[in-house]
This record gives sequence, structure tokens and C-alpha cells, in this order.
Amino acid sequence: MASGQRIQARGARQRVAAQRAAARRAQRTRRLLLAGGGILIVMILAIVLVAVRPGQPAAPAAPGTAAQAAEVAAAVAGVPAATFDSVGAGTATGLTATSGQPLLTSGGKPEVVYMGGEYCPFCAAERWALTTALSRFGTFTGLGLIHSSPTDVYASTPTLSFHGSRFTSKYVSFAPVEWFGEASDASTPFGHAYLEQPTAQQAALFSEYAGGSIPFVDIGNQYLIPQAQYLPSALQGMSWSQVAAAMRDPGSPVAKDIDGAANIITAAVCTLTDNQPATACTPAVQSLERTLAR
Amino acid sequence: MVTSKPSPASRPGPGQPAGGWSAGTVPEPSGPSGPPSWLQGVALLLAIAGLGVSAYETYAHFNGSHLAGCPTGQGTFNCTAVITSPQSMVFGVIPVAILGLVFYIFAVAIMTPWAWRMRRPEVAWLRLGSMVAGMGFVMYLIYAELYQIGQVCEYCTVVHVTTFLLFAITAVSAALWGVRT
Repeated sequence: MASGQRIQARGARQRVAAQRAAARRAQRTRRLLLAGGGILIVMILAIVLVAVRPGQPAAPAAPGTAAQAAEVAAAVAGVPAATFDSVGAGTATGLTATSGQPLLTSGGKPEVVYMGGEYCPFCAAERWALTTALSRFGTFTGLGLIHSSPTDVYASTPTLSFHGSRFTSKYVSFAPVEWFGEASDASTPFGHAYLEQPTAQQAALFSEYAGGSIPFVDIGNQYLIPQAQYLPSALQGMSWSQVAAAMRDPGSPVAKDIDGAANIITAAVCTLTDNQPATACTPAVQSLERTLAR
Repeated sequence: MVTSKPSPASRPGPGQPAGGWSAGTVPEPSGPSGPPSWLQGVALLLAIAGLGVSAYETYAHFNGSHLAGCPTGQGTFNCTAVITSPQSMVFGVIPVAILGLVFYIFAVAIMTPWAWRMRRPEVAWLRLGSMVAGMGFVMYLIYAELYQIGQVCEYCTVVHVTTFLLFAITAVSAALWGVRT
């Protein structure tokens, strides 16, 4: 082949190669622009979201009315025995037992002491179980309907409040202490303003057994609930009425949590009341008594 | 006159025109066949870091535990309030923490050197598509923190930034080295 033809062929190959390289560069540039554009859009969106966000965190939810509270209290007290028996211990954790301690009494009856705070989400959970259990031994009046703190964990958990309430029963006494309210106060041990003050005896029990945390429940000084028996996650986003209604469905997570915890508390109280009344201390509850740590 | 006999290398092959190479046989220039090892390593480390934080957040979500180093209270930052909020459950049933954990288990797998070496377009598209989807979900989570919950979780922010970096690496890699073999 003449050298001229070889030179021409080489030139053609080089032109084709150059064209291909240019096409690849153009394609890569387009892809880079697309990727870069996508990354830039994400960054701009994030900056816009942060820049224009609302300045204030969520406000506390409004408390329920007295009429609503009475309705919810009646619903909680009216959970059928069959529902309780079906749930058993449910998904709630048990109690711890004291050893060799004298029975805590008031007015000749075993006394249950509760200490907690209205802001406290775990107290919010435990109050449902405590109210449900004690409603099997007596009657509550003046319960409040509130939410736990909107800025704490399990924000705005719907719950009851014992502040200003009264419990009457032939079988057991109840001494609730809503120690802290919703308002912030950095000077207190739990960072919230005092609402009520415990008696010296209650403070001594708390100091002895609570490990510095709330909720704290002392059942006749024979059984202790040093922390909430279940997490309030199942209560999130529900109204008080919805919680009370769900407690009647033994298959619901709410019933397994609240009714289960209430059954355990009921079993503990029944050991102190000689299994009275029979409507509370059912055979199913008495079988739970045998599982209590002693 | 000096002539040179054609060497076997220059003799046209079957089906090729006489006179030399055809346009169809112009050799492709050689170049890198994918992201460099150091970039693959960075992506894998980011994915592993994201997996670690996601696993810790999942544990805290189910145990109601306080995340180490996170403040509580009414300030802007409150991790536990965020991970236990109603917005922490997608459609009310699937914890976001679980979604994050599953995403990062997948991310670790798709960012391994072995996965990068798989020069299959399906794998590359899956990598790119999953990072785009993950980034989209992160934007929703940022919106939920700022506009619905009103507080920010530092651990979640670490995961969000990690996802953004993985998204950026994957997007740039796809742009520079393509997604086709």
C-alpha cells in the first residue's frame, strides 16, 4: 500500500477517534450536570426547610373537661372481667417485692402510694393501669384528663391526673402525689415545677425504694413498681376515649399493656385484702398472685 | 524501489476492506472502568457508619432508652422525643428506625468492593435508585422534624448527612463512569 494511502487512513482513524472522544466528553458533561443539579437541589431544599421552619415547638395539648373525665373514668371502671381474664398479664412487666417490711396502712386498710409528675410520659402510662386496677376496689372522683409534656419522649401521651382526685374504697387506701406539674422549673430535681408535696413518710419511701425515678408506686410496702410497667408507645396519637375503648378489646396493644399491668397490680392488692372483693380477686387474678415475686 | 511485504498484523482480516482498518475497528481509548478504590472505600465506610447509628436508634426506639449525649427538654434538640413521636411510625405501623436499619444493611451490601466490581447495569441502577429514594425519604424526615415534631434529633441528622454523602458519591460516580458496561 502506498504511504500516501496509509497516511490518509491514519488520519481518518484519528478523526473518528477524536469525534468519539468528543461525544463521550459531551455525554459525561451532561451526566455530571444532571448529578450536580440533583445534589444542588437537595442542598437548597434542606437549607430552605431549615430557614423557614416555625420558631416554636409544639404547645401543650388542652386538658379534658370534667364531663369528659367522668365519662372516661366510667369507661375505665367498666372494663369487663372477661376482658381482664383474657388479657392476663398481657405485655406488662411485673412488680418487685420487699422483704420483711411492715404492711403500709391508712385508716386500717392497706395503702397504695403513687408518686409521679403530670409532665412525665411514663407516669402517664402507669396512671392508666393504676386507675383501672384500683377502680376494681373502689371509686374515683375528680380525675383529670391531661397530656404528658409535648417536648419529652412519647410527647403528649394522653393520660389521667390524680391531682385533685379522690378515691373511696372499703378495701384499700390510695395516696397519690402528683409531685410535679407541666411547667418547667430548672431548680427542681426533675426540672418541672412542684404541684404537690409528699409527706415525710412518702418522701422516705421514695428515697428508700424509687432509685430517684418516677413513676413510683408502693403497694402496702409489700410490692413496688419502680418504673412504668409498659412503654406508652401504643397510646401515641389517641384520645382519652379511644384509649378507654381500646382497653375493652383484649387483642389490642393498649389492652395488653394497660389491662395486663392493671391485672398485676390487682393481684398484688388482692394479696393484701384477703382476696376481697371477689369481683376483683377473680380466679384468674389469684393465679397471677402466684407469679408475683416473693 | 524498496517495497515491504505486508506483515500479518497489517493484513486486512476477513470482511474488512483492503487498505487497512475500517472505522468499525477504531480501538477505544483505555481509562478507568469505575470509581477509584479510595472512593469505593469511603462509600463503604459511610454505609457502615450509617448502619451503626441506625442500629443504635432502632434499639433506643424499642427500649424507650435515652440516646447518649442527647439533651431532653424544650430546646431545639431532643433525640428521644423525635424517635418516640407519632411521626416515628410510617403509616402508624412501621417504625422509621427499622426502615433506616434495612436501608443501611442494603447500603453496606451495595457499597462493598465486590458490588462495585460487578459491572452489571442492574446493580449500578439499583445503587443509584436506592440512594435517590433514600435521599427523598430523608427530605420528608427533615420536614417532619422541623414542621411537625418541632425538634431535631442529632443522631437522625448524622444519618441524614450520611445518606446525602452516599447519594452524592453514587450520583457523581454514575455521571463520571456511567451505569452501563
